[in-house]
Amino acid sequence: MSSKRLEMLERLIAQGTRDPFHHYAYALELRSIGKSDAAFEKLKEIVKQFPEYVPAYLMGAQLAFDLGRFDEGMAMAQAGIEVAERSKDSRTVRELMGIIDTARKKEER
Amino acid sequence: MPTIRTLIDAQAIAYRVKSLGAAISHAHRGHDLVLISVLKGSFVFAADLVRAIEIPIAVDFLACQSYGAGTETSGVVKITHDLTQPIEGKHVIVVEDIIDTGLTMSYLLSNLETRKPASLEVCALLHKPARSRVKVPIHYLGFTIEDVFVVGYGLDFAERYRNLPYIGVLEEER
Repeated sequence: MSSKRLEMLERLIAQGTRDPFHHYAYALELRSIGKSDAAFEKLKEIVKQFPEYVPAYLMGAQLAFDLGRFDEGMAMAQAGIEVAERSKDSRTVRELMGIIDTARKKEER
Repeated sequence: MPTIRTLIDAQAIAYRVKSLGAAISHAHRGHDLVLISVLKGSFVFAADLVRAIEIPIAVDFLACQSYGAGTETSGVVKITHDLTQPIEGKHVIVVEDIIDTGLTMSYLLSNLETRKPASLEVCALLHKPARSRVKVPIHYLGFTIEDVFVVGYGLDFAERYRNLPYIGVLEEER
């Protein structure tokens, strides 16, 4: 099932889809099959290609912190906060701040 | 015991719903707009969508039951809860959780058309083109998905899982 979906998303990306969700869903699938590093690299690509797509910052920051890549997680979260603030997306700002807070507490332990 | 695999997470849904709300606000500025949520599946989507729309709107609800064997719909639909207000002369958007065969929506559109709205559009959270039997115009679409059974964000399996904040696929545990 999951590999079938991966193949479908790979095909859409190869066809040059401009829908950021297709790229994001691909990263989500990579994560779900345990390829977290590849998922994070894909999310970094997404924020470059579609800088206004806030879900990628959220998932990217969370994933980086889960992988122990603290500095990259912080950079992703802070970039996401800037984008979310610009689009007046207070919910995402709160969520990103929450992720940062949790990661900082974990790092201090 | 089935497990649920995330297909579309809460962040991606929120982002897309916000875009849909902006598109509707842009297209219907100055219109007498009514959003009709088709129960039960679209109630979560409709609740988020109306809050993403920045123009005045009215909201109404419609519930229907489609007849068919098992999960296959026949296209024969009975309205079990009708609108509370007339829609004549108003701009109407029907909000549906998922369009697969298109039979139910096709019936609903024919029915609503007889009530003489100024315009009639469809906003669907999900579209499953692999199961399409009749073509239905979808003016505002959240996501196109493959032929999988989805739950969450208002969609159920035997009345369960509607409260999940994301859309997931029911899978049998291996």
